[in-house]
Amino acid sequence: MNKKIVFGNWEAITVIINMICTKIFISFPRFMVEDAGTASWLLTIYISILAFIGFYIISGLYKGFEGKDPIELAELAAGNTGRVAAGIVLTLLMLYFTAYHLRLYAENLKIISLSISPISYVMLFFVTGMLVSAKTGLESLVRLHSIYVPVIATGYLIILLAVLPLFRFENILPVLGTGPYEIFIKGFSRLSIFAELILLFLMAPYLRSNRNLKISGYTALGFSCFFLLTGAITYIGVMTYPVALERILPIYPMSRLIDYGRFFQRIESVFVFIWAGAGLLYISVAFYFCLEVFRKTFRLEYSRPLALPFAAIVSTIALLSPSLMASIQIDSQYFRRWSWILSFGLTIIILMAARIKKSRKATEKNPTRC
Amino acid sequence: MCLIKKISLLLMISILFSMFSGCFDRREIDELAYVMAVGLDKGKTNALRMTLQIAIPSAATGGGKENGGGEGGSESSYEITVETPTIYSGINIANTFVSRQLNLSHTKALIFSEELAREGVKPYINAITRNREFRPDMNVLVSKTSAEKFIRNVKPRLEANTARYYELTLAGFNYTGFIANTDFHKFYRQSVAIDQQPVAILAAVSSYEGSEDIKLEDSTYKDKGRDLPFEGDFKAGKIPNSGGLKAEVMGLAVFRGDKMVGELDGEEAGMYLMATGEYNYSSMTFLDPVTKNNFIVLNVKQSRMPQQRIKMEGDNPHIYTKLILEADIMSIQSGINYEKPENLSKLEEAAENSIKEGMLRYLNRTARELNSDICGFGAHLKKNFLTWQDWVKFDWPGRYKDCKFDVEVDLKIRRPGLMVRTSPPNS
Amino acid sequence: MRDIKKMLKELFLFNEPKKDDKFILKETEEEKNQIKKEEIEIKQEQQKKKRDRSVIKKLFDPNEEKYASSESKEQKTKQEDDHSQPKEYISKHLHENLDYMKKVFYVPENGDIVIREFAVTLKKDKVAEAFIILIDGMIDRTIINTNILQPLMLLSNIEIEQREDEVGEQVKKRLLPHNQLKVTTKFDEVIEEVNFGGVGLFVDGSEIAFVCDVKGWEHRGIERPNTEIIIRGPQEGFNEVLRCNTALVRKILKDEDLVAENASLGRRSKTPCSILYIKDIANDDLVKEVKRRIKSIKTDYVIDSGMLEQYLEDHTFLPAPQIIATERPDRVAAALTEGKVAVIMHGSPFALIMPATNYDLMHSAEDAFLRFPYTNFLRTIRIVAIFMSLLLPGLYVAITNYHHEMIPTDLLLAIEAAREKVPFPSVVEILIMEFSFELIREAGIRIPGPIGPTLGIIGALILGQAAVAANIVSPILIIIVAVTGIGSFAIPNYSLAIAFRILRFVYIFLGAISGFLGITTGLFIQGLWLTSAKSFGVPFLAPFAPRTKGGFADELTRAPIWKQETRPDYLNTKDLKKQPKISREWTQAEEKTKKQNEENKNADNSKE
Repeated sequence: MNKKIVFGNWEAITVIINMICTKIFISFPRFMVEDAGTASWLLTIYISILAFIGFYIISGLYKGFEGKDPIELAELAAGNTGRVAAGIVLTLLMLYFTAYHLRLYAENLKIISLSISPISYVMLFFVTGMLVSAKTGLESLVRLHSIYVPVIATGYLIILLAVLPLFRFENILPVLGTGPYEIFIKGFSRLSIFAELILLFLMAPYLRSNRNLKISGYTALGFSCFFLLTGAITYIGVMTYPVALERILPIYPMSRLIDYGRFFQRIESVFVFIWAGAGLLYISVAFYFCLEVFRKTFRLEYSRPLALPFAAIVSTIALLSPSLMASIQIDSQYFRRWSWILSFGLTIIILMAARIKKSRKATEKNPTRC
Repeated sequence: MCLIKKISLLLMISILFSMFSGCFDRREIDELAYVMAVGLDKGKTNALRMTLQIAIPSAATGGGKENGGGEGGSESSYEITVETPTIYSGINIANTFVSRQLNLSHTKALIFSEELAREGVKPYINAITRNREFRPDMNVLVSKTSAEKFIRNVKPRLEANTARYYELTLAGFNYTGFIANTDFHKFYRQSVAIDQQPVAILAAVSSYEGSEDIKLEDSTYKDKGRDLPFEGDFKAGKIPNSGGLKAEVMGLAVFRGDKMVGELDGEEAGMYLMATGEYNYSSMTFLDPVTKNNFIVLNVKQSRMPQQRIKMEGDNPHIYTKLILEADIMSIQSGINYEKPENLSKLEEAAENSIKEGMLRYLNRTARELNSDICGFGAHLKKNFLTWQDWVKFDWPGRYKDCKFDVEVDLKIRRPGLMVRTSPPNS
Repeated sequence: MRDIKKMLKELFLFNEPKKDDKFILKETEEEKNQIKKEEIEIKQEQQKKKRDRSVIKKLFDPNEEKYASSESKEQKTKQEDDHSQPKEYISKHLHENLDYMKKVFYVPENGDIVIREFAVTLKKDKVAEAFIILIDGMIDRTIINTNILQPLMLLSNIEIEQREDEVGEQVKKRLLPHNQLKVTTKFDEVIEEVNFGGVGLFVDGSEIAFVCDVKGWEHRGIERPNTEIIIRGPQEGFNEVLRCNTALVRKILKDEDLVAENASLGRRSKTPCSILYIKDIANDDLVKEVKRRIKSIKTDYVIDSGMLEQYLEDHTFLPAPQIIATERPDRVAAALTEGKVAVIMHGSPFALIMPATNYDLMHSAEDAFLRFPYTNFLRTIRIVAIFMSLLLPGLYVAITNYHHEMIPTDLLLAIEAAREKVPFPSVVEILIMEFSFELIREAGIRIPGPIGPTLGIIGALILGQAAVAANIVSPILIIIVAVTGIGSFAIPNYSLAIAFRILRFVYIFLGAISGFLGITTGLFIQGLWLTSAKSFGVPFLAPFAPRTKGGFADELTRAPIWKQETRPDYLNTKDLKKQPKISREWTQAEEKTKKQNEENKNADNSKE
């Protein structure tokens, strides 16, 4: 590239927070309740710890690979085949992120406010935002995050604080919910909630040093865990167990419950702002990296000509599933169970392979040392 | 040049866009008719008889000068009734003869008739939960008379706007303690929960035409062993009044699951509020502990949440409740100087005993007669279980009828009003 | 048809991005050499690329080349014509000079050119012919009479023993007592100075000419600033005279490091302007970039700094201005101390301050002079006003068309009742009112004198009242439009206010097509647009996106004045600190004196 983009930790942190936490608005607290019942908060803590451990391992393995993203690492490890293989897998992952969220955000917006508009019309707004961001590039996108994400987070916390009077401690009992097996054994696969952490590694070249990577990773994970935990615990505490299983959008019904006197109520439409804003940011970042990964994989010079065809592909994939229930089913039963293999497992494997290759090279160079 | 063309192209696209999108979701406010209340009765010819109360905006804001000056003031709403299999098909029918599209996003009250409530409301509340237009903060009422009759009698005098009537009337429990907050979300949540059962506000149309008609036949005072009915010994429909609105609310309808099982009168509704900690303040009448035939009125507040514990004694749960109350003196009829610190404790004790008695009577009634844990004692038991499966297996709703109750009341009289001592009448 | 095809192609097909070297404000001086090298390389590359591209173009479009070559040829011939005429150096013979000056200034036709011929006594019997040339009305007559003509014509009779070939030297050293004297051998300089209120003096037998600065035209005095009215703080504003303006700045900043570099703009107007910066604060690259941009402007005339702003700014289509225009010298001075660069132009009472970020546009000149809590309160109000003027009508349309459940029931019924007899959809309604409001506002400026504001108010009142009475709009809408209008007046920057007035219509449109979703998408795209913008290499939303230090010190909110220790981080100034960590030493004084006393005591004790 002729011009190298570089951005600071704060930008990276806000991007990762938004990527991990937007699912609070669309699915996360319900997933937790589905798995762990009243102990959804416990499961959240559990997977947060797992995510921290995962990131600790990866950042440990990253030593010596400063400023390399998984694709470059795959090339180091297995040459062109490795690069193309890893690149295709990651492109598909990003495509899924984009397409699924595009569909879900559009569908959910249709449910809560634009019930008569056709889905393609609602999607058009998200696709427009996505294309504009692909045109302006990553730099302005991450800068936008650094302004919007604090606003979205504040709005989200205000909603949680406002429903706090309805929170009843008894609702998070019994402590173990559906039982320790469900939480600690089956719940392990819910580490996939943090699948979007892969973006941090894809952003490694822009973060310059490993120290920055570590700082942004831990801070972003910390904030994300905080938001996820508050979301999960408030949801189960306010909505109570069997009802919490039913709600398609977890935070939306909570915002409908806000009622302070006859005037300060009915504010859930304001929720559309933070909700659609978070969605636009998420989709744009996922889409940008989709293009970027594809570009790197096949060593193209520009990613911009890919924007329109990819947007068409993404919209088509988004509309593939026949119903909203089917898409939610796919996400909850398959993707959010197994995608940790891609984001954590794949990264670790690539790093290990690259490490082995590197040490082998080193030994070949000066074999006397060992 | 190319730039100008680009801009004009964008403009053209966006104008086209807006032209064909204009017919999707956009609804002007004045293209919609807002339903203030929905009443559901058992239908004569069909499953449901649905009554909708629709606001007339020009009258509701006092803006329509032409409409004013009719007898009994301008009507701020009108009612329509349809016979229908389901709620939404009924709205569909109504849309054919109401000129504007019906919108339910400002509905304040959902009224079931007693008949329907006793059969079970599950099919209807499911439909309502699913629709985003119904708001979770509308109140659920059960009408002893038909819901249609009740809604047709809601012709507020003070408010130009029917919606405000519902909002204010149904928030009246804050200073009467005779009804409770039964918003739809709470009702729905409790109807599917196992640790607490739902209640709904009891509503009815007054059965008295004038002051001379007032009778005491339906009052509950005799069951409580009183000579005279106190203010809380009534249920909606039999409140001894005349001249106000014919539509009135008092007491609660008790549900088990989604089925109504019984009624609570005003006083018991107050006890319900105290037991759940939602009691705000209201005046309560007590018998004078010394003279036994004079009344004492205290303004009772709940200063803290009630302390509740459950112990399992064998298979039978033992529930211990401690109410912490504060009170101000409002009236001492007997002229005894109760403000004196020595006498104050007598008064406090009398009030405590009276409330304790009422509370025990209420709790035992919910357990033995109604068999429905509306106070949510089950929630306190949940901490004894590790997993949800165990808790479900325990079958709390089945065990509630065997509960033993222990009530302690801690009432402190804090302020005497404007008088610091009572002078006995000079006779 | 072909045009449309081409346009569609351009819209939807990929064009290779132009590789223009965008200016980015780099961090330290160490990198400078590197940057230079890179710049050179990039330029070379560019040239290469250009050549390459032209080769490709030739293949596809043979006409292009012809065009280009013919154009360049035309230019060349033109240049040759131009060059054949002008003389560069002053001749020794006076009559040649005289003829040439007459030709240049078209003397018989030109009425206000004054050429006064006279004789200067150089020796006792040696008299040299001479003339002065000046433009009537631009000079101070008394200065010419007393300081130039009088000594040359009368006082030159004093005896001097010098040879002929040092005529110029003699005039300069002995005969001309005027203080601002420029000696030149070139015609261009003489012409330039004469055009700008100087007087040119030619003496026979000398190859040099003298130019005396005797500017003395009529101009406006220093008055209160008209657009940036504040309550607390200095009340002087710039006027139209360059030197007067620079002096006003220097009056505030008595700093020898303050540099006012000269430059001139416009081939015909030759407007002089000053580039002001503080040498040991401002980033060299920034100064260089400003100079580069100003010097590269090729145009006939630049009359006001408003035109200059348009030539200098990075993004033409960005709604927000990227350069601050101010008529307050104190604001310029404050910006200079922060490390920014100011350009003052002759003939414009508005100085340009660059670079500007989004947050600078929300500041009023008064902010620095008011106490800490007041400033923050006012800034909060201003931010609210900005959002109101941008979004309020759009939100109203969105809520009344899509989100009915959001309005409290009483208000909803009130709006419904008010709209009962209104025939238009609320979008049309609000467009009508917004348009008439803009109309009143625009017309109010044109209406002369004191009638203007009166008519504005009456017009708005009557229009609103009548529109409501005629059931064209609903009364609630009048409130919305009025509040929006007032909100846009609260925006301190005039250009930004206009930008939001335009964007408001976009948000009304977005609100009308899909409610809050449309508005959110609009905000998102506007955000992307603003974050991708740069003003002189500084990101437009600088302290917040990208996040740098000191965002809350004096950008969005304002910290107490003693806490504002650093200059804005994004300017990469040479001197980072405005004031030391402890700027109010009196807060420390007591402890220090105590310590000192104790030390003294100890010392005394030890002595004893």
